[in-house]
Amino acid sequence: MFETKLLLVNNILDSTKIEFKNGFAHYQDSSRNFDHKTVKRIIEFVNTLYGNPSYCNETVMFKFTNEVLFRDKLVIIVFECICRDLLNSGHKVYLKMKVKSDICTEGYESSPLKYLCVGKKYNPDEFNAKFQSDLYRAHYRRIFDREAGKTDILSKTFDDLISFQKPFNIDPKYSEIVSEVIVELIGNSGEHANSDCLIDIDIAPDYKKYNEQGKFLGMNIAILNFSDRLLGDALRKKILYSEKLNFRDLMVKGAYSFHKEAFDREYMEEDFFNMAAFQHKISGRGNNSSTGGTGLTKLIRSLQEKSDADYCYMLSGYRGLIFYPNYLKYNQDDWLGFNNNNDFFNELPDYDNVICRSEVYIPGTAYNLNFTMKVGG
Amino acid sequence: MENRVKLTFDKTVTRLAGYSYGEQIYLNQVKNKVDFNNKVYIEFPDQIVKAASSFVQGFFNEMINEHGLSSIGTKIEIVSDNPDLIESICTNLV
Repeated sequence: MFETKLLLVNNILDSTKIEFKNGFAHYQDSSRNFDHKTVKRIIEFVNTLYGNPSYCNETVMFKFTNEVLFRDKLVIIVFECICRDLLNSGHKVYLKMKVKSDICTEGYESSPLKYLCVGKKYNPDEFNAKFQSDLYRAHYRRIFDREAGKTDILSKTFDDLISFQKPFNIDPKYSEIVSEVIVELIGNSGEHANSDCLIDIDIAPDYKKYNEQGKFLGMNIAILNFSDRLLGDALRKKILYSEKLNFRDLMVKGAYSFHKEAFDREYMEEDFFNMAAFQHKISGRGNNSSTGGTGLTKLIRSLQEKSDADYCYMLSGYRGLIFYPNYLKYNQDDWLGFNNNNDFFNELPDYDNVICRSEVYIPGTAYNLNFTMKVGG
Repeated sequence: MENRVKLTFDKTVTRLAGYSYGEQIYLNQVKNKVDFNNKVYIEFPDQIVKAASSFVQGFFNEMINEHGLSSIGTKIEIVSDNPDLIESICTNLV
């Protein structure tokens, strides 16, 4: 089961006053930017509602008085999760919003949120169905059970994702890489976080650039799992407390000794282990396997090499990493420094460009990978 | 008789992914089915064109722990008519 409840229970914030209008518990927001701060305010509202037993059957109205621009597809999906949790908790939910589109957020059109908007299309059952799974034209959505990696489901999904991309004239080598990144991340959710995983892909074809000839398309991939385990948790436990570390694990431990002297509010231990989780041949898997930890960053790097622009990041807890392409270069010994000298052992990361903070605690891990790429023909 | 095993997968599968799935395939179709004291041939069916790193890691984990990474390609030979598959396995092992 996709544990949307974890998002709410891990973000118990200050209570807010609930306004009731026309029989609705009213949330009103005049922001033009729908971002993590907006999500935080919404969570405050929802948790206040949940915290008062006399509000247990209230119908909720989310009203946005100005045209909103969603920060990215991941923010849209997190809002969907909140709405879904409300519906699962017995509340009716309505939205009143106008949404501004851009290349990063054309994904609102494919979002099931439209089935909660006031009007003829209002259909909460359809919202629930499309939240779980959707395959229509340029949109793919699916929630994978945590056990998917134990059967051939990921293998079949690998093929499905390639088929999904075929109509868009994407370079086949690229669509292979995209599909592989996604199935690897689904597998990671089940294996390391013991959680279900939501995948959402939007393809926006027929883009043109003002300064470059040719056809382009935009692809946005959002991947989300809710769990009590953060990305770097298992690796941290292994590196700091396991007696059986292989050679590369021991090198990470050595790097930790250097980096920990610099930990402060800007650069935290969590950030170190988030970076370590993306190192080649480093895995939180406790079996001291010599085969672990070889996939993810090379794949993300390959995607960025093939695309013309990018906006890729991950969040886990309150911390996150921005996949800044200049810093995703392995050195000769296959280490990523996340800094100008690509030195993981003797230099701190360029945390202004690489490390980010989330206003909302993400219980688990979330990725937003956004690319623009040239297509053939 | 050659010390060989031919792997079988659902006929709709052409690409392999999943660490635990890779482990399962090894445990169910390779381990105790061949003699690792002699040269081993592991054949992938023609339908399989690629293996993601998670599958490769799970499938080869026990073999590498017991026989070493250098055994893959020498003592343990991967057989496939598909060069892309061989390349994906080799790439994901190192």
